[in-house]
Amino acid sequence: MAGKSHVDDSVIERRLRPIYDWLDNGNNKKAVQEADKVLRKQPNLHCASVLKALALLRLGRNKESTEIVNNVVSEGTSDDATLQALTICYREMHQPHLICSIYENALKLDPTNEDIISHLFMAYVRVGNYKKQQVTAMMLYKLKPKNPYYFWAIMSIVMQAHTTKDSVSRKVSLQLAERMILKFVNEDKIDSEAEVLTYLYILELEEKYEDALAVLDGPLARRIVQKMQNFMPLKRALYNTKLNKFDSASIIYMDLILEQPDNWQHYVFFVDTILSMYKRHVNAPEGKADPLQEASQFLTNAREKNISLGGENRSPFLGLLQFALKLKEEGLHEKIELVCGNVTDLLFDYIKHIGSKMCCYTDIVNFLPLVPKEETSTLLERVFNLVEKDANGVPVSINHIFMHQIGLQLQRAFGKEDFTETAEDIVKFADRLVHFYQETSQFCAHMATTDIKPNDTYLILASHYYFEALSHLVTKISSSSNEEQKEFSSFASNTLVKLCCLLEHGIEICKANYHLKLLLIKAYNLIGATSASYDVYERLDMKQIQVDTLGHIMSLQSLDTGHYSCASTIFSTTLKFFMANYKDTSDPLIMAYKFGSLCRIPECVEFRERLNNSLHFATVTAEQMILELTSKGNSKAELEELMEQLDVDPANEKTVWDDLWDNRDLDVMVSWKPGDKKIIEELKKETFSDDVTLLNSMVNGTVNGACEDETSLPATVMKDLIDSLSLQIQDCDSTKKRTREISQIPIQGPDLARIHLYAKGNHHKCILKHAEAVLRIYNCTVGSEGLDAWSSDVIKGLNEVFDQELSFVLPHLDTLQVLPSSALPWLNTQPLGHISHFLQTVSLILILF
Amino acid sequence: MTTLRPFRCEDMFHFNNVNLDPLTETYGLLFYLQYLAHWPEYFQVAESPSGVIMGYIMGKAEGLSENWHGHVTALTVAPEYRRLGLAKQLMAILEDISEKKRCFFVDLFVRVSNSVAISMYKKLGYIIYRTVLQYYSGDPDEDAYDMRKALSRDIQKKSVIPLTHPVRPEDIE
Repeated sequence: MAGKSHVDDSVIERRLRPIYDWLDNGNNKKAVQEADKVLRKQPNLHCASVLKALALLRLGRNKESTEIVNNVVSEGTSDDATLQALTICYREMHQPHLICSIYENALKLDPTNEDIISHLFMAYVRVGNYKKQQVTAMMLYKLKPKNPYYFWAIMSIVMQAHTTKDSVSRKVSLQLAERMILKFVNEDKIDSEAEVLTYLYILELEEKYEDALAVLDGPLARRIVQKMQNFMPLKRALYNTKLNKFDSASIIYMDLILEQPDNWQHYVFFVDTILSMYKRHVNAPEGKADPLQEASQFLTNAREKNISLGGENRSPFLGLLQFALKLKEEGLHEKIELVCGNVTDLLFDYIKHIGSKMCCYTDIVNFLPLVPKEETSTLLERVFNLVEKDANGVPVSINHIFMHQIGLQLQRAFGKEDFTETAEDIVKFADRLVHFYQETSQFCAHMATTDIKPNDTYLILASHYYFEALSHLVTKISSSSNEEQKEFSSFASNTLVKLCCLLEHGIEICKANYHLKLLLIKAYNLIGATSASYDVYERLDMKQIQVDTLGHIMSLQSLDTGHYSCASTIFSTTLKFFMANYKDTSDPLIMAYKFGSLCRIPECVEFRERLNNSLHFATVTAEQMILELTSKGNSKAELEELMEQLDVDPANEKTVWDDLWDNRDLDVMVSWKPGDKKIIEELKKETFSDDVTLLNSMVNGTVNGACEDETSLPATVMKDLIDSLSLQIQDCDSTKKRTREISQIPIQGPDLARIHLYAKGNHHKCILKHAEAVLRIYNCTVGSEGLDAWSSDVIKGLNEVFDQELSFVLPHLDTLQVLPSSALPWLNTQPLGHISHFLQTVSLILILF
Repeated sequence: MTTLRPFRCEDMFHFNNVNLDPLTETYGLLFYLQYLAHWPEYFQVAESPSGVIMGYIMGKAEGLSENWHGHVTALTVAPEYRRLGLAKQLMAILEDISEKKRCFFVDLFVRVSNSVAISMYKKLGYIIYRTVLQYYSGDPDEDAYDMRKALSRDIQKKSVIPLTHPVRPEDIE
């Protein structure tokens, strides 16, 4: 075997061991030295060479590393240790497809080696080549007829069905997968739970629910032994529902409710089934029992039984409300009272039982639309009456604090606060909440620092109102006379400073409360106080996937306010996460095959794609590139090196715009105003599409434009870029027309899309004009047009557009406010944004030339 | 008022309300994914009716012969949903599945300072089997209790006879 020569395996093992150890310890220099030592004794020991290459790679000496790897590969090897070391190298080089090639070649040298074929299969898993996975798995099965190999092939076929867009080939693939399993079933070869689950999974994909039910009723079901208690009944009920056998399904759900009275999903499924049944029976012959009445009776009994047992479970209290909600959604309003009784009473009853717990509001929020408008005031009154207060009107215990808060939360949800819609009144109302916060702190003093304090909700609520008052004030300021403006401005500044101080105080008292931290970041971001918000951001300790889902709260803001070092820190953490994910997440896929969790594979693949196609990832990548180019390139040589490192290739730009995902988690900040939730959902869609437009323009216009290099790229690429940049300008301009009032955005919502601010300037036009000039110069000097085509008007045109840009941005410098007493929402963020965009534009133009 | 269901990959996109809690660690994706790939039945989530994740449990089964046991790797409940018996429900699932896997016992590690959790586990029938010295790294390192509960297969309850001496992390099998 190549590379092994005549030396005994155990000797080789002994010689290589220290290299592995150094690599494991992260001491790559030592690993290189040790490898050299081994190679002196045994120059053609491939594994030592590759381990050396790996160490060099980790030392950043990519060129040397690649050279060694290529050498070994060209000589060919089928040695397991060498192949595995190569696998690690290619993984770290982000070239998983080359892992396939080395194993393909190894297989030629050693065609019946089970290990090599198995590794080849895994190599295809890494790159998602399902067709080759299938062939390789069958090759394995033929060599060693083990069940897992056969099922690897089956799952590879399922994945082909999963990824195809063509319905016919999907059907054909699934049929093939099913036939393969059936063959095993008939030969009585099925022997594990995973195999039965895969069978069920395929039947579900094919919508063959009769067959799936038959599996549950047959001998194969005995193999399912390690699932949750409700696994089989839930499957059975699902299949019955799909087959329109609602009677059977509802019976199963009733049993499940009786067995697990606090597992909420059973109630939801039960109610859905009943309504489907009702819709079918609506015109059925008389004499048949009314399913609505029967279900109502059942849910009422469940509720009463729970109460008689001390009311420990929460779900039975809400079954009837879920029923009412579904009736409402189905347009059966007239049935609600008849079937469920008085929903307001049901809700009140729940609050009476559970209102002294912090979770009450999220339990009932879905059911609030059931309360008729005219009953909201009475309901509130009844809830507030449950709260026991002392002589000063302060709740007397933690239980009563929660009860009081649920009243306040409902008040906000119903829009029934006792104030007129003026900023002064709203602030007064919020001040009262702060008073409650302070007066109840004595009850919370003894609590663990790791728990959210019960009285924190007062502070969060108060903050929401302060933010709302600020929105009112901003609108007022922009539409009032000079004198009034001053008055409103000072009121707004005071409110803002008060809000920040209160939140800082709240965080100091309760370090565990992330709600307060998120609010404070938002508050600081409003005034462009990036250092302050970054400080809070650090205390949030966000990591891993949170940099994607919560990156919208604090990342690009730091760039737009010109805090470049802060931006650079956040960007690098963010990119590190995504790059690691790119490398790491194929390992769990391989594990899923190995351990038989086959049904989870499509989910893992989808998850991976969702992360790799994250819009945040793409945006941060582009912004980081621009930031590096504009801040680090101090000479032409440095710039060229940077560009090489960034590896931007405008001619082959391959972002798939339609595949980008919005992974922002906008539900993390709590809101007690149902209307806000709707606005936030709309905003999420809107800002996503706006952000995609901006990214598109950045990638196509700016990054690629800056990285164009006239000596290596044909002028046509430059021309294409100019064309696409012109298109982007039109896109930007059309977004500009659809601006939202910043003050309408709820504080829990996304920030205003960055493109709005960008589109207000002439940055794009400026870059475009300069790019055109560069092309002209190229054509006059190197290209076909010749010097005669040059005209000084070109430079004159550039001056004009640049002056325009300058006169747009300079006045913004004067509006910057630096004293806290003059801090107003959005006052600083906008000019800072304009200035940083301007600086970026100037830098990019300089790079262009 | 809780839906208990298997954890899905996409849950990671919105488990922030649980994981922003300072006591809950947010691990690298690989960590969660390998549990999903290897022990999917041991990774369960509790969800509120409005779709908010209230908490979750991750675990695994490992060990040879009489040491074959279920292990609780992480159990967390968001602050708003504490004291509702959620942890108990999640633990019950893990114990149930460990029974089905014919495990001898279930074990878990907990910081010796986490008295709330320790007393909860005691209520659920767990005993302090041994102390593991400096198990949690930090400043300073903190000891862990290895707590155990015997399952029905361990008829003589051999797995829950407490050790008299503390052990070092490297001595844990």
